[in-house]
Amino acid sequence: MTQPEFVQLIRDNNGLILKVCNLYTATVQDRQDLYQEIVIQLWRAIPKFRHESKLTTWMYRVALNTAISDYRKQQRAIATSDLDLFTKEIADQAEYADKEEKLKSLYAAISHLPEIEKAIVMLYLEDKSYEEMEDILGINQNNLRVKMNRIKEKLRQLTKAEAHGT
Amino acid sequence: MELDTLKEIWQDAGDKNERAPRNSEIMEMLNKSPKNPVAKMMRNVLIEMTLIIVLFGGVALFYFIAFKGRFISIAWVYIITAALYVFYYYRKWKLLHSMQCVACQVKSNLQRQVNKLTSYVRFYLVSGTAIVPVIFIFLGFLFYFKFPEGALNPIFPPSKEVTLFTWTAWIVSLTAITLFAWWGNRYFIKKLYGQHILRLKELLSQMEEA
Repeated sequence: MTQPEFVQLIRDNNGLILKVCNLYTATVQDRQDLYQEIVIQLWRAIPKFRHESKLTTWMYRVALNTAISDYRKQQRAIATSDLDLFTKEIADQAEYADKEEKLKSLYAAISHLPEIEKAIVMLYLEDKSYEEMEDILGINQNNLRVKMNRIKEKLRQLTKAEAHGT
Repeated sequence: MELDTLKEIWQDAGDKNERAPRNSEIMEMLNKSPKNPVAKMMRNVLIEMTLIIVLFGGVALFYFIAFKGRFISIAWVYIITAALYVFYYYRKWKLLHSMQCVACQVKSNLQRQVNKLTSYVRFYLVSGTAIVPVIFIFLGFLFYFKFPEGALNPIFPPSKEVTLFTWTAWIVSLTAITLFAWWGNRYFIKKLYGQHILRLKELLSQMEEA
């Protein structure tokens, strides 16, 4: 793949990379760094892409591997997140109920999940099938379903706790 | 919060809220070096190896030329030591190189990283510790045979004066130095890689728990 073709590939899949970056970083600088790291890893790995899976599946693997296991700054991002701030945002969501707010709250909620659960919920929101999620993450489908139910419950309970003011 | 109702909002996000980087910005990124821990470790290994080759090579060259060639054996010690170090760095670099598989499934990539990093750390500890007594013994022999008998007494007494005490003193100091090297290596390994290995294991256990 030539550089201009690769640049076009990145532009076409910009949303995919941005979502991974937004999930795994807390500051603009970290986000930019992770974006760059993912682009570099994609560029280095693309000659080995053998079309054995969908291109987006392959891109998710590279992006998630880079964000989850190869990138250290995310630990700081998680450590600085604040549960109180999150629950406040959930409350605000009921009041303003607009898409932007909902999206912000969603990101805030997901930011409190462990790294692997973040990846699962992201793929779920992207409407990926469990089969494709298994292909990206390497977790079997049954286990993924169990985990997904648990994640949904986690998010529900956090919302409920705020509604009851506890 | 019902996730299913938020799917649509989520799928619209990303493209709308943030601008896509310009072509020139993406092109610029491609020329940069990766910043991930493994890439950094690989760069460090190459830097350390270059330093060893330059320093040891320089010193060896000095001993080859200076003192009218009387200390050529010392020059060879440096060359052999440098060769051992090059092998050591090559092995480290190879382990690091096989550590990354960004296009693999996330779980298998994590598993691979844990396994390779554990091997890397074991190799670091064993070879980093073993090299100390090896060089110590090597230098001991060199000085013993190179210098005139008794010149370095009492560290290298003439062979007829070597007593049980001399042997004991040598064995005790060798053991002490080796233990110190082992402790020092272990401390640095824990400081450098301990947290990273723990984090990888924690991620893997998150994936494995049902």
